[in-house]
Amino acid sequence: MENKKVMGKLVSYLLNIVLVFIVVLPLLFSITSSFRPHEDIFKYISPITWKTFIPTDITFSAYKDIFTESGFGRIFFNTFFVGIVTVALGLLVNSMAAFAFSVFSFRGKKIVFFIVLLTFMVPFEVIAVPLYKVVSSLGFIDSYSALIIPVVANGLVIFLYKQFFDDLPLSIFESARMDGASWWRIYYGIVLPLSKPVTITAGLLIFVGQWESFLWPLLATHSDQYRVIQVAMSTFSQEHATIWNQLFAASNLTIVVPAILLLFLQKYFVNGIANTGVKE
Amino acid sequence: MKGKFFLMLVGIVSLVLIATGCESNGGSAHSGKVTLTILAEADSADSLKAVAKGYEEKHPNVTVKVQSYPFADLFKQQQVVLNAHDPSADILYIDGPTLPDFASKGWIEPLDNYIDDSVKKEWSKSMADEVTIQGKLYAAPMNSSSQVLFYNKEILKKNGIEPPENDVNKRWTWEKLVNNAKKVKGKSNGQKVWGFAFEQANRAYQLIPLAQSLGATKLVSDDGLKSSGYTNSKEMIKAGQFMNDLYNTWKITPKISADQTNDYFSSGKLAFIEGGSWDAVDFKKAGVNFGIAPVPYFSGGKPVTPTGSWTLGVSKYSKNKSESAKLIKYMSTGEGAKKWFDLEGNLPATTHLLEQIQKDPKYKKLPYSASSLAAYEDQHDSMLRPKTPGYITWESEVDKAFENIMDGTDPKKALDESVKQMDNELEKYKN
Repeated sequence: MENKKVMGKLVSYLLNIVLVFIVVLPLLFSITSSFRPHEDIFKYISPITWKTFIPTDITFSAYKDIFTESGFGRIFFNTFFVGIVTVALGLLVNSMAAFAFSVFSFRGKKIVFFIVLLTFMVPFEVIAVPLYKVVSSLGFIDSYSALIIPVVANGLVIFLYKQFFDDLPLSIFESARMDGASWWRIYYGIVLPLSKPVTITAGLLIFVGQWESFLWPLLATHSDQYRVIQVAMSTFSQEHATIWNQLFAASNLTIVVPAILLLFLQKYFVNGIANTGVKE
Repeated sequence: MKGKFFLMLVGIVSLVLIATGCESNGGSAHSGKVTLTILAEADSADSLKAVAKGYEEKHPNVTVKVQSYPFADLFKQQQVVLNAHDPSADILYIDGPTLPDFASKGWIEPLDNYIDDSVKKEWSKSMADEVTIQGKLYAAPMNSSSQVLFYNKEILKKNGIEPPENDVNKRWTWEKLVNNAKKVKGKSNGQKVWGFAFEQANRAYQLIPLAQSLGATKLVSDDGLKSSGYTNSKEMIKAGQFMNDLYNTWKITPKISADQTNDYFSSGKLAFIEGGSWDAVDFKKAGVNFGIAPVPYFSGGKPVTPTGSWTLGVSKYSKNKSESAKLIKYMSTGEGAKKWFDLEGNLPATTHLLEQIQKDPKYKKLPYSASSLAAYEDQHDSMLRPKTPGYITWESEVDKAFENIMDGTDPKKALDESVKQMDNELEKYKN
């Protein structure tokens, strides 16, 4: 019996190790390649040996080049700036909207909320042309406004907040009203401080959404001044060549930022998702 | 408190109104000053700017703005701008084979009223043909393109292979190339060395000349709306079988994607590669000891090389069509074309420059001799890609078919399947 147990464990460990390898190896290849001179990237690819994954001729030139040649300093700043401003505005606007949906009753509420739900189910490609028209007629094309303003209202975030607010006991609102608090005060004095987990979840969603956003920034901006990270990475794939080492270096740095955020905030993240789903 | 909220609302609404009021317009014709905006591809943006500068100096009332987008996404961007009827884009940088698509959608302005025949005569025959659709001129060609055969001298020597000569009269046949590539054995740095690859593995641009070399003259019907019987012709199937054999029977070609092939050649893992003449400079930079030769042909067939490249067209929604046409005329001929060629080094689209390259002593030596050979090919053996408004679908279906052929699918089956998909798509373009 004991033997069987050990064997079972061994098999499951082995299986897990194989799985880990499958998941990690491509990432490892990308990290290794970013430390290689450009000519060496495909030099050791077939047959696969230890040299495929361990660089023999280590250089930091790819990392240096993306900052000196490709202007990634500005690009990282832009992406952070756009992300953080969108998070700040998005949390405010969407939580207020959700508060209204959750606490007030007004005519057409269900229909309006249904439309809000629809907004995050429609693929972006469908609205790209009309959105471009609107943003262009507002004179926003090629500015931070174009990157931020259309993204502030977010149906999914409204939905998350509403689910959370719906679970708050009605008695809180009633007693606060009784004591003479305005709705405005209830919103920022009582409800918001209670919503920490969902706020972190929502903030992460918005930030990572902006961090990964590609098609909209591509359409809405064209100057280097407003270039964000995903569009910048696309420029490494040129017509006749791909600048692999810089592409790998840039994507490694691009992965690190959301990964760090998630690492530190994952506790709240899971909490936030779980909380919004539970109904008493 | 309620008051505050309303104040905020009023604030937001007025901000939006102000912004709407500020709507700016690209160029205004009445003040005499004109701003022309070009939507271009990122790699060429700087050269376009430099050439445009020469024009600005002669025409002080014109300002040229170049907006650049990554190569792979330029079309997406242009599609949205054109679908939105945005007048702020005047000139579009367009890949030649997609011109029929732009023309059939009414996105670009026919230029016959702006550019006369004497200008067209400056362009090489193949490029003048590429920008003419159903008898109308739709764009001005900026570049042409062609292919040459590169070989790694050291690998050939090591395997006892007599290298091909850079002489169009002693052009190898594909049969001879295959026989020699089969001799390539051994390893370099512990890595397998392969015989031959197409730079643009599985891409229509490089592979349809195989069928054209076997005698295929049309790859779609004359109106561009039918592919069945053309794209799956017996010549195409024979070309597909050749590809299948390269990968699966003779196993002399590595199964890798087009963005890796040049790196294989640069790192000494490939004996022969058919690639763009522009690659010569990169191979030189990478330190490969290489030689060049003309692209092979099938014995019994004729030599055919691909051609076609970037063009400039004028947006239907531009408010400065006449000024835009003047600018692209300047850029694609005479002084503008010369400057553009000096900066970009791509195969030029004017006959004058093509002939000059073949005479210039600078172009007798590697890596520049590749351009000289390409210039010859472009004038003598080049054939265009098919003209169809559904080119993007056509190309992606052909690419897919060749990918399946690489994986061992029977060429007839793969091409028949693709033709079915293409004809479904082309149906949309019939009125």
